[in-house]
Amino acid sequence: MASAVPLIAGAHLLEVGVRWPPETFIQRKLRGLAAAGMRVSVGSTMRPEPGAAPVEGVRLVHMPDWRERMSRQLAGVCVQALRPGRSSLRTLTAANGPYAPPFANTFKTKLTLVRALGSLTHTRPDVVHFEWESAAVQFLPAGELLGCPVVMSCRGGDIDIYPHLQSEVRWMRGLPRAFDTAAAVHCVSESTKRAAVAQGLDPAKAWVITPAVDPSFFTPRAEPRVRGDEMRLVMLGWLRWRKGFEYGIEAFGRLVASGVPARLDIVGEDPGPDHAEPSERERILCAAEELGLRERVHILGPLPSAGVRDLLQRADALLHPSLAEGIPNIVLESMACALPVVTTDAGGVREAVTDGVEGFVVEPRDVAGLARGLAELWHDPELAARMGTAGRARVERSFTLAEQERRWAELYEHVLSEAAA
Amino acid sequence: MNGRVAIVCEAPVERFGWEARVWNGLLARGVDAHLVVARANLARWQPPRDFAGDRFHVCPTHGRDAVRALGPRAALHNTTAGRLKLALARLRPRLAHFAGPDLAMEASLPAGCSLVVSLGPQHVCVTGIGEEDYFGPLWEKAAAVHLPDRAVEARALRRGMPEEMERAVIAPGVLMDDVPRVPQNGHLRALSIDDLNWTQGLEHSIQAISLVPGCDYRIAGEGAHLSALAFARHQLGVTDRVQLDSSGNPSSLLAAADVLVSAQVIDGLNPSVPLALAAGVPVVMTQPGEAESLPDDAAVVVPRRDPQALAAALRELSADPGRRQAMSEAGRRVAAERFDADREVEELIALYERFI
Repeated sequence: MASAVPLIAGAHLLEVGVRWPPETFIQRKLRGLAAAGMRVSVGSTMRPEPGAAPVEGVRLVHMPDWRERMSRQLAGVCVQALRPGRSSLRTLTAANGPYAPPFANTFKTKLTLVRALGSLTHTRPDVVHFEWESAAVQFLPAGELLGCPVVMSCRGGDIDIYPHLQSEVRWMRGLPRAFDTAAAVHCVSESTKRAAVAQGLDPAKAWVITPAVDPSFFTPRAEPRVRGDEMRLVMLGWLRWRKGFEYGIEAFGRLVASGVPARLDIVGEDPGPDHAEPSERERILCAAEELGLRERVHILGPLPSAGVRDLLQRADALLHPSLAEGIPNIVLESMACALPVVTTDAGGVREAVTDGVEGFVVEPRDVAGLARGLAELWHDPELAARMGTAGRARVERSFTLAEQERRWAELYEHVLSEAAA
Repeated sequence: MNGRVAIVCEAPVERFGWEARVWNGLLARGVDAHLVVARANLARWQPPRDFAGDRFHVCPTHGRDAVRALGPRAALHNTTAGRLKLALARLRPRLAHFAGPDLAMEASLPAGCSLVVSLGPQHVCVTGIGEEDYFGPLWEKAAAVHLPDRAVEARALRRGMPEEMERAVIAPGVLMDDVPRVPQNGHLRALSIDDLNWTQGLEHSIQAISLVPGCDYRIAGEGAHLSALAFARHQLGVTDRVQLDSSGNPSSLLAAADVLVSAQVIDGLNPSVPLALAAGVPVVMTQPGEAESLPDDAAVVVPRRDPQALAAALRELSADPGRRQAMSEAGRRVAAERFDADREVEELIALYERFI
């Protein structure tokens, strides 16, 4: 963060509704902002694992959630009311005010909201940032309560999927209100921006800041890529249906059936309680079994960044069969490792990958197209190498951390100066 | 048959579900049959009215309901297995027939009670997949296994079921209400009746529908995969042609359908297939497994995970009402031969008699 700007230096950024520890890409951003002089806190309903290392430069504020017992919630609200600076009355008013989230419609959910917001009032931030659309809707009154500008992120996926789900009607009802209260809305891609505008976002508030990778960490392997005995493929993502794993397995099956010896490593974690959906693990295993691929498909579970990098460096291609996305970090990380990418055209993927240049881009659910792209890379190693090199060059040109950090500083500077004015 | 039988299943149980059908069939033949419903959250599921009587028992999940249903000792047993143990200890059946393996593996039975377990496609293809010898304890514990078709039997053998295991392959019986057919409106009306989970391959069938203009598609069912299906129909541009409904009476649903689609991606016959055959609705289905088949004139069988093949079959049927009529007649014939409800109960009784 080279150009620390006066207003953000010393300003207090509070990120709300983030996992703990935060996802790698959020940690990177927060560390960068802390290094630029911002004070950074994270309000999370999760508690640190015993013995887990702290996140450098970032303070954790624990927010109680709905799993807390009712008696404890009530006691907590009473304690909050007695403490100066944690006014339960103010949080109660906010929880019932015009920006009460659509979820807070029962006594229990209101109480949870009051407790969660109450835990934040003493933090006195200069700017609040919701890294996920869902958090922005869930904690809608936070900006009003804390008396500071609000920034929210639209990361793709949810904003593409939820408008079509009956089960998310309340979430969708809250989204325009979240856009309304936000001083700025960060969108991870132009595609995500379009989806947000379709849901009521004022385009003037939108800031497109794409994900980025550290090209000095995600590097091509030292020795030149040599075709081995089998094609080594990687799929990575939460084990959720929106990642399209089954289509990936089907494409992999066609590749193997066409005579290409191949191995597929799947990196990813089962969805947590906050995702409220079943894991795709059984579906993946079953598809692999049905297609006779059990010996070739390996679910490795979650891996740290270094593990992901090592795997990408050893692989021959990334297979990314996702159905809904912003711009996926794994695609950029693979490109930084000079790995060709075979991906679906989900969300903003085309903003990072041009079909035929850094890899192949096919329609979502196009199993034959994915298999064709993989086979072409196997049969034409020179093409694969060219695509890898092009991917690395594109990341260095358009998706560097330095540029992303500059844009974040610009966004917060803008929001703080508007608030000051 | 002398001796008490307990049919044990998990809530929710539907009026027209397998458990209720078999229970009623056994009662009609004078068998002292009891239906025991475990894991019953009575705040969410109320048993159908005609389930009442001294041969129907619930093991509620909530403490107060459990004490009311099972007596004060239920307060000391707050697990599903514990409450089921209490219920079975009171009943003292000679044979307990569990509708699925999970509950059976954790249940403790009264002395002298034999265990029969039903295994369906979902159980043998999905449950415990990736775990070595998951069903090992079940093969040890069960006196016999009940399987709905040969494909499920073949898969159970691949999952480690011993060759010498006592077992019976008994095709599910079909009981249909007599509902008048709803006339066609010009479009081909495709229907799937399923639990909405990924094993049903419903995303493939939505893809197929997107390739068949002029075909309306209704998916009737409930389950965790609803979001994926709602997004699939949007992404594939068929929101106006694909209707996602909660489950209803299969007879009424089939009366308003021209073709039943089963795109199942696991072994075994989808339970909706016998229903459609009995209702005279032509069936397009994916290959149910090497060991199982239906006559060619009753169903069009296509490869699994192949939306193009599914679409081609639908296009053909759409263009050929004569073939649909012939399939309808053949389907009724096959249903009468293979999926007869009386025969199902008699074969189950024959299985029970080996142990009572």
